[in-house]
Amino acid sequence: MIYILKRLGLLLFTLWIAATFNFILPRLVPGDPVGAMMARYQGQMTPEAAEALKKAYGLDNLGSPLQEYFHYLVNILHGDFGRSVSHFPSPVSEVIGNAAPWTIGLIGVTTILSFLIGSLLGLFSAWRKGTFIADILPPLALFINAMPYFWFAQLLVYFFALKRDWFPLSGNLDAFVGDAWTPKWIASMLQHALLPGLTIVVTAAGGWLITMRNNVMSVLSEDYLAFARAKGLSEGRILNRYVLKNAMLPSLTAFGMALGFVVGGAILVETVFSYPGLGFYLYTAVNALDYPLMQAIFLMIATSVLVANFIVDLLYAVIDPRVRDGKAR
Amino acid sequence: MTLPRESVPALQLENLTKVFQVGRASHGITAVNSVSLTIGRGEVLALVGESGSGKSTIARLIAHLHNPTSGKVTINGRLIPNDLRGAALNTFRKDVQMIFQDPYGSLNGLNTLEYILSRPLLIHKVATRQSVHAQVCALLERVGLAPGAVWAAKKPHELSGGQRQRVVIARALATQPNLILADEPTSALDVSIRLDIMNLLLDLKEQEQLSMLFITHDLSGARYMADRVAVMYTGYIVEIGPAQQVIDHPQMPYTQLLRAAVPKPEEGRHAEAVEARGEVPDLTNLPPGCPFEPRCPHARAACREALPGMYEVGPDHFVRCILFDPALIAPLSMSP
Amino acid sequence: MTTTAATPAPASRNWLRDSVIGLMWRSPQGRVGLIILLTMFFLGLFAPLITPYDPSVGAFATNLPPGAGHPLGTTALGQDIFAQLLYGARLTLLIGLASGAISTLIGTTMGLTAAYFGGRIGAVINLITNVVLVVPGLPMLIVVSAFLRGTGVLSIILVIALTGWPWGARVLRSQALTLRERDFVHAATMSGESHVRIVFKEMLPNLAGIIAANFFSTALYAVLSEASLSFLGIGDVSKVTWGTMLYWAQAKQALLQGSWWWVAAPGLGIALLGTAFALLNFGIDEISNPKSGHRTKAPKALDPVDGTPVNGNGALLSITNLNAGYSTPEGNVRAVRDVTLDIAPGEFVGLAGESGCGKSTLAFAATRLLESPGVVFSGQSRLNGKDLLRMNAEELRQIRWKEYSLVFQASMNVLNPVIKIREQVYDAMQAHGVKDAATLDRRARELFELVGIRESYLDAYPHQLSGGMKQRVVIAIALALEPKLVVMDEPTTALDVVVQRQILQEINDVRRRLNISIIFITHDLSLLVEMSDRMAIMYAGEIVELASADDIYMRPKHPYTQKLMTAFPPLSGDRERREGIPGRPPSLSLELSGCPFFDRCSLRIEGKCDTQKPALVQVEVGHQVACFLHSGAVDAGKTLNPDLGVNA
Repeated sequence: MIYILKRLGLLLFTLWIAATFNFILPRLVPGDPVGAMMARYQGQMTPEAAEALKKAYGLDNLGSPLQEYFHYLVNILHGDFGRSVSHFPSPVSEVIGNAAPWTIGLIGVTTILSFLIGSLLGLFSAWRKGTFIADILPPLALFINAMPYFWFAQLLVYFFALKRDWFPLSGNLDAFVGDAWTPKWIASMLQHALLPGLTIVVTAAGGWLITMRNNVMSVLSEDYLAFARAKGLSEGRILNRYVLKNAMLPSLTAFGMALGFVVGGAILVETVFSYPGLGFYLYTAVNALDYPLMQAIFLMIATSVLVANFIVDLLYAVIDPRVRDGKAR
Repeated sequence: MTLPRESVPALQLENLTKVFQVGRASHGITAVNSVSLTIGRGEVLALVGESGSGKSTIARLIAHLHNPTSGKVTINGRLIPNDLRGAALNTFRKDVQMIFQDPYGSLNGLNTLEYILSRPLLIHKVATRQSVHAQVCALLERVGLAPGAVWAAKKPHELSGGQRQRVVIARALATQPNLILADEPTSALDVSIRLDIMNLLLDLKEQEQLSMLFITHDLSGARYMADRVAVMYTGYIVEIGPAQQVIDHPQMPYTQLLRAAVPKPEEGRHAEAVEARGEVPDLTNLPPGCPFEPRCPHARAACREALPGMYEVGPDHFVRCILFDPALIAPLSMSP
Repeated sequence: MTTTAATPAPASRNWLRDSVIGLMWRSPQGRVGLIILLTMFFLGLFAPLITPYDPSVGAFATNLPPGAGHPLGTTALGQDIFAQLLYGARLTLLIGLASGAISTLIGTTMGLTAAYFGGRIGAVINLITNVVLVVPGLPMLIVVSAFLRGTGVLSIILVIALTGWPWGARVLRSQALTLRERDFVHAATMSGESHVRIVFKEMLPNLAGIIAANFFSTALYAVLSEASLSFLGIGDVSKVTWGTMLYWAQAKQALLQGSWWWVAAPGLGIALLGTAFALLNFGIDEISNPKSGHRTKAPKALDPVDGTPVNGNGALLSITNLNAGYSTPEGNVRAVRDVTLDIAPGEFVGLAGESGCGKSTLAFAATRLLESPGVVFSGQSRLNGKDLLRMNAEELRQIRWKEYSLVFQASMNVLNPVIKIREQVYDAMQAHGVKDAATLDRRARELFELVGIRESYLDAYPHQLSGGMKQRVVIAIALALEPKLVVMDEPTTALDVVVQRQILQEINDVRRRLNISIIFITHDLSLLVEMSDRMAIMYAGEIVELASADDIYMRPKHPYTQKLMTAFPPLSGDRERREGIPGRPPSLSLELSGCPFFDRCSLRIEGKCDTQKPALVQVEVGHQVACFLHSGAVDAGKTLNPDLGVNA
C-alpha cells in the first residue's frame, strides 16, 4: 500500500514538474517571450492570435510571476491550454482531443505488441542459446534497436507504398469512408495503421529482445534454477514458473522506463506517415511555431507515459510478492 | 591467568547505544543497547555472539565508521566525542585501527600492496616520501611476508586468503595504533590457516603491547585468543568475565545454549541434544524483559517484567540473568 | 550457483587491471563495435583525402543515381551524397561522443554522490533522477530545442546530454551503493583518507566498466536523438550531419523522386554507428558482469563404457576413477582426480578439506549436477548400479529427486522468490508422478512437521522466512520423495550455531529413521567428526585418507589429516599454543608427479614423495590412506594423462 502511494506521489510530483517546466521554458528565452515569438512570425500573426498567445502564457493579466504561475496551473487543471496559433481560433484542447485517440490507439497497441514479441524472442534467444537462430537474434536486435524509427518508416513507405501500391502513403482513413466503426471504416483504418504499426513493432522489439535476453540469462544463473533442475522438473515447468516469472520483473521495470523513449520515436513515425496523431501535430506545431499547441502536446504525452508507468508499477506489485511486502524496490 | 591491567584502560565503553533509523519508521532498530565494558592495556577481549547480536556494530562505533547514538567511549583515558569529525577524527584514527573479516573484500584489487600500505603511513606522517618504501617492506616482513620488497609490488589477486589477511593486519599496524578492533579476522579463512592468523595476532600483541577487541562467533577461537570474553545477544552484553570461566563454565542460559550447540569432538563423538525453542527475535520486535526469555528453558514470569541487571557470579564475572539476582536467589532456592 | 566455490582463483579480478580499451577488445561484440567506430572515425577524419568534393556545394546535376563519379549519387540540390556521408560522420560522431561524455559525467557524478553521501542529498538526487527518467525525452527535446531553434550544435549537445543522464545515474548509484559497503572502502576511511580520494581513487576505478558501458549506451541515445531532432528540422540544418541529410531528403521529397539512396545511406550510417555503440556497451557489460554468460543445460552424457558394470559390493553409490573439473580459457583444471568412493546404504559420509580441494566438485560431478564450465572428464558414478554419467536427459530427470536429492549451500537463494513455498514443495513431487491434491497436501504437512516448521509457512513466500527456516524448507523438499541418497553441500554454513545444531539433529533423526545415505560437505571439521560414520579427507582434488570418523579423529595416518585435526582450538582442556598448516595447496591446473602434500609436509621423504605418487590403499580394516609412510604402494601412471577425453 505504501508502495502504491509512493508511486502515486512520484507520478503527481513528476506531472507537476513537467507542467512547471512548461511554464518556465518560454520565460527563459531572453526578452519578452511573446514579442520574440511574434518577431519570428515576421508579421504573419493576426492580433487575435497574438492576444491568444499572451493568454496562453498567462502574460495577459500582468500579475506577479507567482500569480501568473498559479493562474496557469488552474487553467491546466481545467484542460484549458489556450488557443492554437496554427489552427486559430480552435482551442488547443480541441486539436488534441481530435488527435489523441489516434496516437493512443496506434502507439498503445503497437508498443504492447512489440514488447510481447520482443520479449518472447529474447526468451527464446536465451533459452536456446547455442542454436543458430537464437544466436543470430541478439546482434540483429542491436542493429534494429539502433535504427532511427522514422528512417525505417521511410523505407517501408518507399517499398510498400511507393514502389508497390499495397498500402496508402499517408493519413489515417480514406476520404469518405462514412461513419466510424462500420466494417468499411475499420478496414480503412487498419490499412492505414498497418505500416506505421509495423514500423513501431519492429524497431521497438529489438530493445525488448535484448532486455529480456539479459534478464533470462541472469535468471538462468540463479541458485533457484539449479535447484529446480536438480528436482527433475520438466522443462516446461521450469520455463513457465521459474524463468519467465522472474525474468518478467526487471523487464517490466525496463518497459516503464523505456516507454518515454519509444513514444518519442513513435511520434516521429506519425510525421512520416502524416498520421494525424499527437506526433504529427507536434511536428506541424514546431514548423508553424505554434508554441501553445506544442507545449500542450508535450504535457499530454508526458501524462500518458507517466500514467502508463504507474500502471506498470501496479502490475509489478501484483507479480512480485516482495514488493507487496515492501521488501524490495 | 593474571589479567594485565594498568590504571588507565585502553578502551572503556559506558552505556554505548546505537539506534539505526530504518526507512521512515518512527522507531529505529537498537543494534547496540547500553553496552559497558573495559579493555586493559595489552589485553584481548573477545566479543562473542551470533549474527545480528550487535558485535560488529560495536567495533564500527568505536572506529567511528558509525557515530554512536549515546553513551561514552574513552580511549587511553581520553573521552572521545560521539560526533568526532575533521582533524580530530584523523588523529583518533591513528590510535585505533581495524582488521576486517573478508580479506577478499577489504583490499582494493586495483592497487598494489605498496600503495595500500603506504597510504596510512603517509596520511599519519609515520613515514616520509623517502622512507615510505622501506617502512612498507618492514611492515610486510613483520606480518611474515618476506622479502618485503617482492611482496610490495604484488596486487591482492596474487595472494591467498591467508596472505591477504596478513596484509590487512599490516595495514592496521601501519599507524602504530594501541587499540586493534579485529572483526571476525579468521572466519573467512580456511581452517588450516586460521590458527596462523590467530598466532600472528597473539605474537604482535605481545611484542607491541597492543590491546585488542576480538570479535568472533566461534567460542573456541575466543577461548584461544582472549583474556576475557563478553557474550552478546540482541544488542546486549549478557555475560562477561575471564575467558576460561565464561566458556568452560557459562552461567547465562544463552551462553550455555551456545556452548552446547558447538560441535566438540574432543568431548566424545556424539553430540548432546540441544533443547532450544525458536530463533533469535527480530530486533524491531524485542520482548519487553529479558531478550532471551522466549527461548530460555529457565524462563519465569519475572523475566518478562524488566530487563535483568548484571549480577556478579564470580571474580570479575558478570551475568545478565535474574537467576543470579541476590534478592531472588534465597526464595528460589527454597522452592523445588 | 555458489557451489562453483572450487573454481580456481576465486577472486580473479584480472580484467580490472586492464584499461577500458582492453575491456572493449576482450569480447567479440566489443571488437566488432570498436572496428566500426574507428572506421567511421577515420573516414570522417580523412574525408578530404577520400573525396574531392565539398559536401555542401551543389555543383552537380540533381538527383543523379549512384554511378561513376558519384558512388552514392547526388541530392536534389546537386551535392555529392558520398561526400556528405563522409563529412557528416564528423559532426554526427562529435554529437554522439560529446553528448555521451557529458551525460555520463553528469550521471556518474549524480550516482556516485547519491550513493556515497546517502541521506538527504541522496534522496533529492534520487527524486530528480526518477523524474527525469520517466519524462519522455524526445518530446521534451523537441519542445526545448524549438525554443533554442537555430542556436547551433553546442546547444543540441547540451540538451541531449541533459536528458540522457538519469539511466546511467541509476545504474551507477546502485553499483556504488554496494561498493560503498565493501570493506576496502571502510578500510580507506579507517586509514584517514579524504572523501574525495575515497570516491575518486578507491571507488571510481572499480566502476570503470559500468561507466564505459553507460557511456556507449548514452552515445547511442544521443545519435538517435540528434537524428530525430535534425529530421524535424530543429537544430542547424545548414550543417552536414547524417540527421540533417535525412531532413533534406525528406524536405526535397527524395523518395517521391525515386532517390532512395539519399535516404538509405545516412540512415544506414546512423544504424551502424548505433549498433557499434550498442555492441561496445554489450561487450563491456558481458565482461565486467561475468554472471550473465555461460551456462548450459544439463551436462552431456559420457560415452558408454565397454562391458557390463559390476555392482557386487552392495554400495548405494559407487564412484570409480572419477575425473572432473572446469574448462577455462587457460585449459582444463582437474579439480577431482581419479577419485574412487563407495557410499553404503544408510551411511553418513563426510567430505572434508580446504576450500578448493574439490569436495563440492566431487559431489556435484558424481550426481551429474556439475554445470558449465564444470566438466566431467571420465569415470563412473553408479547409483543402484546405473551409471549417472551415462544417462540421457530424460532418464536423469526421472531419477533426480526420486532416488537422490540435494541440499545446496546458501539456501537463501535456492527458493524461487516469486512463487509460494507450497508450490515449490509440490512441484518436486508432481514431477515424479504424485498428482493427487490431497496426497500432496498431506505429504507437505508431514514434511514440515518433520523438519519443525509450522504448516502455515506453506503459504508464505520465501522472503517471509528467516535463513534457518528457509534451510529447513529446502531439507523438507529434499526428503519429499524419500530418496535413498541426499547430498548436502555446506547446508548449515550460513546459519548460526544454535540453528545449525537444531537442523543437524533433525537431519540425523530422519536419516536414521528412513535409512538414508548422506554425503555431507563442510569445511567445519569438528562438526563433521561429530556427525559422520566415515570421513574422506580431500587434498588438491584427491582423497588422501578414508576411514571411520573415530579413526580419522583419534588415529589419523596421513600427515595432512594429522595437522588438520589439531588445526582448530579445542573448547576444553588447557589453553596451549597450536599451529596451523603453513603454505597453500598446489594449483589444480598443475599435474604433479608426486604427492600433492609434499610442499607442506614435515614428514616428507625427499626423492620419493616428490617423484612418485602414493596410491590410496587399505592399511587397516576400513582405513585407507595415500602416503608412503604407511604403504609403499605407488599410484602408477593414472595421473600423467593431461589430455583426458573431454566430453563436454
